[in-house]
Amino acid sequence: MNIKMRYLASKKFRLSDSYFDGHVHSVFHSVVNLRLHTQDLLTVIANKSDLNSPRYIAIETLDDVDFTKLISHGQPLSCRGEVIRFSGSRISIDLRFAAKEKKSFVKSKKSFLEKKINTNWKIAWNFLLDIKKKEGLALALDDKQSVDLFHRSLIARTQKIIPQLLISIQTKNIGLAKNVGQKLLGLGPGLTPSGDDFLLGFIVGSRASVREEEHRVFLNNFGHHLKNQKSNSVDISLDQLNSVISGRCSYPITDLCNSILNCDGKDKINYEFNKCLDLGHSSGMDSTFGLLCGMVAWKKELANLIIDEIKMPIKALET
Amino acid sequence: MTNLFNSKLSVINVGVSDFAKPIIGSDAKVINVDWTPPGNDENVARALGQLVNRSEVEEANHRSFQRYLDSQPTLVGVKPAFQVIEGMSEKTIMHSGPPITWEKMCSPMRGAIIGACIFEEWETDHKSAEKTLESGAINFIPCHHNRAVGPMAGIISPSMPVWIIDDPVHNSRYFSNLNEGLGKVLRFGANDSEVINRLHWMKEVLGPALGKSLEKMEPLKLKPLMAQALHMGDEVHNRNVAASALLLKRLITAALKTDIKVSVLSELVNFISNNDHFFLNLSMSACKAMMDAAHGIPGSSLVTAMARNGTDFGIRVSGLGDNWFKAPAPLIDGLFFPGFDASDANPDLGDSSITETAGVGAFAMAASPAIVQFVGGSAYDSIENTKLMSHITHSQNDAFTIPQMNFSATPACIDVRKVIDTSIMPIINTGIAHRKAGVGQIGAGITKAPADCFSQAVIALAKTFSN
Amino acid sequence: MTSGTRVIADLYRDSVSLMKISSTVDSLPNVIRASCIMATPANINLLLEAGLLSSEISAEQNEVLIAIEAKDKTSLNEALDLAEDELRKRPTINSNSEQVSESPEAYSQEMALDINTEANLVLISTPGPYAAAEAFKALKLGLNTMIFSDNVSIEDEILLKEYANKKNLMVLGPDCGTSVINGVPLGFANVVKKGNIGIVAASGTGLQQVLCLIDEGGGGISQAIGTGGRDLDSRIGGLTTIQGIKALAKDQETSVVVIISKPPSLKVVDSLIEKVQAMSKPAVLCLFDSNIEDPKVKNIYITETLEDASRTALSLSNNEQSIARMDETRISELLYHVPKISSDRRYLRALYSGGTFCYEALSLLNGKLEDLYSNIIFPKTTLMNDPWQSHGHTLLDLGDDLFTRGKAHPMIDFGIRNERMMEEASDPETAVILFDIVLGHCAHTDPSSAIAPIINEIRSNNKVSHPVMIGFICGTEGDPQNLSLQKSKLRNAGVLLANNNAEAVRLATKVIETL
Repeated sequence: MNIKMRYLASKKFRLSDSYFDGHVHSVFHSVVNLRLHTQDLLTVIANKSDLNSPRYIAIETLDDVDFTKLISHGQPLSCRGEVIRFSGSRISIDLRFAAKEKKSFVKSKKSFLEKKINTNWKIAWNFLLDIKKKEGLALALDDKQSVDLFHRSLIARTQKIIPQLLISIQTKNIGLAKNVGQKLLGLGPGLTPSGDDFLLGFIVGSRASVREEEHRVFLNNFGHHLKNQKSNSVDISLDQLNSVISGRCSYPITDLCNSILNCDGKDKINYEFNKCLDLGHSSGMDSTFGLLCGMVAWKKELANLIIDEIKMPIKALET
Repeated sequence: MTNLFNSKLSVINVGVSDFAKPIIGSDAKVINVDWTPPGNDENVARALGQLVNRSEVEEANHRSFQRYLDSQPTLVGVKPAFQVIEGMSEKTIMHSGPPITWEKMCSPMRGAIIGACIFEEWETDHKSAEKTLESGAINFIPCHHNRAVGPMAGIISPSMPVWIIDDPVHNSRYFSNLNEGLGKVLRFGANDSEVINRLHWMKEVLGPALGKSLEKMEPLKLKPLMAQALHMGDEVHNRNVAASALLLKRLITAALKTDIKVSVLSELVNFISNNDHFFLNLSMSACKAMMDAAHGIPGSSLVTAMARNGTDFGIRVSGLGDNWFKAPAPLIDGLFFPGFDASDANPDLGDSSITETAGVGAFAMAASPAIVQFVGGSAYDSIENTKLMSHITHSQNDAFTIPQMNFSATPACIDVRKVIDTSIMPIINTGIAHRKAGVGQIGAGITKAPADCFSQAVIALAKTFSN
Repeated sequence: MTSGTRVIADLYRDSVSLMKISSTVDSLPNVIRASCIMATPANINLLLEAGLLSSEISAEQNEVLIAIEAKDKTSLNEALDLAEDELRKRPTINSNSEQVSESPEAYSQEMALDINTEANLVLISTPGPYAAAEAFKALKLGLNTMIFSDNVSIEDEILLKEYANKKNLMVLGPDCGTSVINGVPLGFANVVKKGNIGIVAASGTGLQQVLCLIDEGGGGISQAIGTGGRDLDSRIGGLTTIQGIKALAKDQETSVVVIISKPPSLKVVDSLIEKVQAMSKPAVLCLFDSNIEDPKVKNIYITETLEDASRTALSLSNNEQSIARMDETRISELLYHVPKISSDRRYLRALYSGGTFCYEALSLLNGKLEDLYSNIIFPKTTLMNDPWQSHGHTLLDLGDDLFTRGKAHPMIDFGIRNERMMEEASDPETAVILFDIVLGHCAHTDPSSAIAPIINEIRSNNKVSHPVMIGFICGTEGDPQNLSLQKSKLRNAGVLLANNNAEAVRLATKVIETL
């Protein structure tokens, strides 16, 4: 039966070209990534106000939708007359009623007291340490979880390179930073490898807490290098990362970052923190981990705290 | 145009089907449209051309459909019509279908109205009643205009007990009369003393007993009950066996908590258990509640009522206010009880097609193979019918699913544009009334809503945009 | 103990499903270690370090890599197969969406689009009064449209084309008999080779003639866009023609553009030439008798006949330095075969099924023959009050509504023309009967057999002196009717077969002049 559900959203927006063909790149519960024949990537997010992709349309659906039950990856799609139809599926998306929102990238505010920010950062850091079931690179902060072979290697790798990344920033060693960044790209299983998610958070965090022009130049240099690593990771994940490097998009991660910088208090930080964790399967935790590392990358004391935490499990294993 | 050059050609062929051959021959994709002139009228076709995939209509339909899905018809009580129906003034009789005058009414409806006059004791005999009615001393008003619905003649007079259905989501209230059962009944135009006596019993005994019982019950949500009945072989229009049983189950438990005498209880149980259509009027008013919720969204092309008065068939459309778009009521293709044939049949009658409007009845025919047999088809036909209806509806209602179709949701909310664009007319399951008052039901079958109603609506809707 | 890998392209899975599959495989009895990851360089490196990979493997970062270490070869292969199966398993779709077993039927364009979601063109051939409405639907649904139907009002045509232009869509037609888009023949179209010549044409038969002559000359077609006969009317302003030229200008497959139109308005021609001039590709214009002066622009070639246009386009498409000249020898050869005609017979009677051929003939005869009559309006030609009765030199477009009322087009139904041919033959003043035969998809399946018996009858009725029969076939070797068979049948019937319309008209003129 060819019954259609028409998904609509509240705010109007127009794609520049409403005539295109493509296929479903990947499907999640309430997110679908569309690969257009122009090679553009378009992300459709249902019933969510939290947006986590550079080019997205947000749609409101009649009921709670589970895309995984409606469409599958590889399915061809076409947009005609501003309606996206999926071949062989009963759903269609009417772009005329989709919402698109752009938040400006978080800007640093010099006037805040560093001390208070540090306190807030520690609150968030402790939230991360307290998570019982860690995932992705954050596994390096935990010595209790039992993991498979791949993840054992992943942890060992993480324990080596994240301290290196922080040290490269501290010592303004751009060569080392580039080298480590490259190692992180594409690291970890999944559609958006953990390393990419971590870098995404790291860039957001380190940018937001830049205080000196020299640091900014360093970061631009670092970002530029990552942008050129086109073949080192999964397209979709690079797409997101590049967009962050260009400073174009909004993430729950920036909300958390803002919340810490604005000294919003524990409850608000907790709220934003949990929102971040909801992203993807391990993506949220990896990005959060990256954000927190990035935010203190310029601060020796706190950066060392991280290095210690990461190295601790090794110590534990050794003893 | 460059979009054409850059991709593989895929053609939709409308008209001469032979044009598909060279396209197939050169390995391109083509699909033939089984085309018929929309509405058989150039002006209708042009109006439709202005409405297809029109942003305002799509958005309005979405809103309208959302309201339809949101509505939560809930049975709350039974009370005399004059106490609860606002437009029910003295000497008013409500009837099924679009508005109609005494002169134009079919015989079963006239018979039923005469019966109502006698029941209300406005008149003592048929002759005087007829005279009064001819003189215009009695107000006629369609049930639909007073948030009510009634099967067949659909007669509701002031002292008749009515079901009260609330939609708490949209803060509105709907009504329907109580079902009298089969055989010689008012809704088919019978009006002898047996009929009048039953009406009095319903007013004095059944109505109050139901009212009391309902007071002892949590308000009863009707959609889940209908959904359950669909899984038990009902389509809640022409077959209500399961739904009536489910209702009775709940009513008895409540009735036992009241001070109703055992003798009355036994009458009540007897009456309901002997009437397999007892739930029909509730199904109809639940559907009315859903459709009225969807009504009144400017620009919307969704049908919110289909109703017949035995003379005219009329539809209402969400974005077109309280207008009725009418055409002569069609005859019904069906099976007749022994001794009757098509020449005895009255044209289509009653508000019960509100069930199809709301996505049940014939639209859920696949749920009720028993009905298909009754109207002369196979189980396969029933699934085909439900599938066919999906081409003319806005979407589907996940609240109502059909086991035989892998628990597919029923197609819901007819879009006038799609009806005209595809030339697929809504199917209605219905009983057939004898054209003479009082003979009663002589068969059952399937009929199609007349295309002309939808053509008029398409033209009217297009006009709302040109102004 | 053995280990192995498998790479699966075009597959995307999130980390959770990859981990699940890894652990499923890992838990198999004879598997020692297993891993299922996106094959990024970093991940491959990790597996190398972990010893699960023994050497670098070639995998792209968007592919999934399965690496397994197992006790023996069989278990390894089983495990790899299992992992791949699990990966390729499509998520089960909700049972609500039904499996389509039989090919679904469409009762409306919207339904058709729901089935073939990638559709990009609607071909409309409904009765005229409904065609505009269907075209509006197509455009509203975001689809290009070709309107084969005629009887669409000019007001509707303006509305349709303006709307389409705004939405970056195209309206071919109305009354567009032929198009070839991406090598796919639409409507009455000839089967042609792919190539680098793009055509924009206001006339169906004109386009068919050029398609056929280019095909015959060994050239090929990139796109052939029919615009409908009124597109260059000043009220429409050549919206589709200009869109077409712009599209062909951008199209990488096209290196030569041909533009064909019946007499257009001069104002529109100016803007047309402006557009063509802006294009870097050479353009061949064939605008019958529109009195345009050669703009003397490097890339524009003004031609008088369809044959001329085709020849010019062919030369340009082959990058030839000079344009090939018309082959006069064929006419001389044919003239040699013309039988003796009695001196009473003085006039030409041309019976065309293709309207554009009639135009072209009139423009060629203009100034050569006096006393011209036709049912189409043309300078220095008398418009016939009663087209059923021929006078002097009569040239008829038998596709005119007047003749087709209640009948199929003369390209399909030969009845009208056969009757008229008999009448003309019995007119003692008729010297030459000229006719066209159009092949291609949807035309008559065996036109020679439909016309040969009449010609034989004419010859047997007038044993002493009968008019000369001159004909030409507009068709290609690829057409379903078998071009060479059609030719030989006509020759056997005694028809002098010219290569194309211009040649046929020139031959006829010579015959008349030498009487």
